[in-house]
Amino acid sequence: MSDESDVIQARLVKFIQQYKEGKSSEYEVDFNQLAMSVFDYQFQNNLPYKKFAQLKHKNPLTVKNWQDLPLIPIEAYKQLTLSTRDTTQAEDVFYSSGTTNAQQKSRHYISDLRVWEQSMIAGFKQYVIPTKEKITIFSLFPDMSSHPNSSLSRYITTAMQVFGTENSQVFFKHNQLDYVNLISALKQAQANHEQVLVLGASFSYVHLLAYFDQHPQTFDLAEGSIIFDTGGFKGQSQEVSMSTLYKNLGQVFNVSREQIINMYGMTEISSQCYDRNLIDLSQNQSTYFDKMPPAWVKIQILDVETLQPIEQGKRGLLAYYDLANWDTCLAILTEDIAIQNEHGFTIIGRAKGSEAKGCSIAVDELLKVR
Amino acid sequence: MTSKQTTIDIFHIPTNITLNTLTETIIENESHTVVLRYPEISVTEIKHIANVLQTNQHDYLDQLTTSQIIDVISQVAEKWTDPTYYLRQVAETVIPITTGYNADQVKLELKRFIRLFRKKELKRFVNSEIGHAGAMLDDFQPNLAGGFSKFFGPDLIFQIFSGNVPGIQLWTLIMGLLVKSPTLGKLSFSEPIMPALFVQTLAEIDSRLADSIAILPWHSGQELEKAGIEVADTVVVCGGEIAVKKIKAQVPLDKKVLSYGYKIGFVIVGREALTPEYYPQTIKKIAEDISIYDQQSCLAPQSIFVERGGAITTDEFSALLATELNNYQIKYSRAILQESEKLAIEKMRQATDIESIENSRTLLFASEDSTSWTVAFHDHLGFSASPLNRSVHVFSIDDFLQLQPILKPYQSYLQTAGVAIAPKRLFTLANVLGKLGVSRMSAVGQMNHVSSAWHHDGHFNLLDLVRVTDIENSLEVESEYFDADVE
Repeated sequence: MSDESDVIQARLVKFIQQYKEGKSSEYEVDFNQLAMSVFDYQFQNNLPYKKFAQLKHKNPLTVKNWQDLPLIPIEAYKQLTLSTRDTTQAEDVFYSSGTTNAQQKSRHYISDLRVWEQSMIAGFKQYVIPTKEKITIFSLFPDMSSHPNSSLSRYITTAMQVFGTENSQVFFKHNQLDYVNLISALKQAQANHEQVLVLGASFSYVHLLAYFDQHPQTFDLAEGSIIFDTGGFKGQSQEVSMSTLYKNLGQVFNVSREQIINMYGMTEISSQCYDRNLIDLSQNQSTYFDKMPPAWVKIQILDVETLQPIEQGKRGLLAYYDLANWDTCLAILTEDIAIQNEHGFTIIGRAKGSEAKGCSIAVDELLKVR
Repeated sequence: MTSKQTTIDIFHIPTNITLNTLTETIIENESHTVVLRYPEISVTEIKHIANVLQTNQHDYLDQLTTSQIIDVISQVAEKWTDPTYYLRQVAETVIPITTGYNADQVKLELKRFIRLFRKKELKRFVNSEIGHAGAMLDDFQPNLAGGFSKFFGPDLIFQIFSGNVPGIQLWTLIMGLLVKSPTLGKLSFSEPIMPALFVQTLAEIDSRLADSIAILPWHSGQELEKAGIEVADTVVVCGGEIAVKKIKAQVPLDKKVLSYGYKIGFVIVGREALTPEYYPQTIKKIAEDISIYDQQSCLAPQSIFVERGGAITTDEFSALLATELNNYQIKYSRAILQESEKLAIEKMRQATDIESIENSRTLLFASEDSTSWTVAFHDHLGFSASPLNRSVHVFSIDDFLQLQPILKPYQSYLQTAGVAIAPKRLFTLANVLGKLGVSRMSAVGQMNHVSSAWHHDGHFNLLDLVRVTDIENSLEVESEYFDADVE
């Protein structure tokens, strides 16, 4: 069995290496073949997913295209143990922060970190620092040392190990942002004309801007510096529009909109998607802020009524096909509403529950009440 | 393409009030454009309207007897029972466009609903609570303890209407008239048409009576509701949990609040209703209860308890119910939903799929390539609210007495139970359900059709609105002495 998983992993690593810089004419066929192999492997070894596929009347004999793969709802990562391998031997397990229900968290077992790391490294290099080898990373979000079992923390630790200069630091200690040291490090970098990549979750930036409101500060970061933002405001009470947030960040750090990038990632997936602006900029193309999946990820936007692919320009649920999720489920139905156009896709937000129009109480409301 | 256009005033104010220019909202579908006109109202205007309403009531409504009021309302209802009546035709055309409900279903349900306000039904309604054709609303009547008593309605009722089901607002509006109180009403933009048209008919028949009603739509906020509460002595609020809570919190303790809020209905099917002779009918009727107004009324079922041991198994029941829901969808299609409503249904389906991975007895029956209908079958005891819009949970049960602990946590939300069971067990079950807070039990197929004497959410309708003034026996006797002509 481990032979089989070794073969799959070797093929995945090769695929990522082969297509990380660009796609050739064989790409579509290669993606599909690998997706079918991964599905076959998951069908044989991930029992709950196999049952789910069977409920949807799908199996490796009937599914021929990645678009037809049975999409496991993200909720299943909370309720079920989804893994192709013995979870007690997993190298890591990511827990969600309990975005809607604190009691029930998603569990994403990573049996072997190799593919996850390859995916993270290749994606980060291609979309975030396409023209650089290293950059000074200032993280506003905790790394693995203080925040184990978080996919974002492992992401940050890996980014700093692989791409961070020796000046890179995490400014989140004892459950809070270390504003004083962050400001002095930013001033230092500014004085040295040293490019920095400030990395944080959206709500980290909201807190940071609130701090700057009370302790007015502006910076003039070296040209080429990057503001890296991830997530929206899932489960957080503050509602701030991304455009306002980015405008304010741009003003505080004196960074142009083109140098601000948003990453889409979550506990249940292994590969991230990024806005394409930095890659566009590096190739001297017109700059778009839509997201592009890396070569080992495909997406579809599904009509909420039919769960069938919806035409470009219309809102729908994001279906995420991530080959790097080889040891859980590669095809996932997220709860995020997105729109696709010819340049990529945009996340509109987390799907909201429904509220009844009148006196009839709907299940979501009842949960809130109880 | 030319499209038809209908303009409707979604408000009514007394004839002796003039308001500023009207604002328009346009709702359209492929073939029809509906223009809804209404005034933008201010706090000063609300206060002015309240004064005029009270004067109008004093000058006219207060002078009428209950029978006379019933006469007028029933004339309105009779007009609406005529399929060729032009306002009924307007309602039948426009309401499906503004609400999204199936046109044939709206037609049928409006017709049924309006019959509740004919003379015989109104008389029964009044008699069920006040007795003697409402004589105590007209005059001091002798009471059993000696002395006399009379009911007085509120000086001014401020009503906040919900918009989930067309016409639902007429209940409380008519209740106000029957207790001879003027009403200032806030209409919901979701369904303002039926109350506006009904009052328009009322004005056609007796404009002075209609002059004690002002109904206006506005978007929920702070100021106008506050003004409404201030000018009234009684507040009637219908709607979702948040809306009701918010209003209740604003009403001072010395004013009366009647609230009709979030409720859940459910169905109980005994094995005696699942014999080869009866099961097709039983299931068909339950499908109707689920489909009428897409469960948006609080009367509709969200969970179904099916007793094991019938001629069909509980999972067969679920499969057959799914088929009936599909048939119903072909006949009367469900409304087009908002994204969030569709997502709620998708989430229910996902949760059922996940449950069936862990428990293969759990089954999902769902319309293909659409969210039109959903049946989640659980072969165990449980209870769940559903995301509505023709989605329902089915639970297997061995004995109805097991329901007590299952339903207890939801006690304050329970309202209608649709029941299919033999008489022998009916009263035992009714006792259990009554203790649990269920306020209404009906036959299956009739859950959405209340009787004219129903007790809304287990309360009195008219009695809760009125207050009583007693002339005690002592006064009656003593006053005799002051008769100059006494011997």
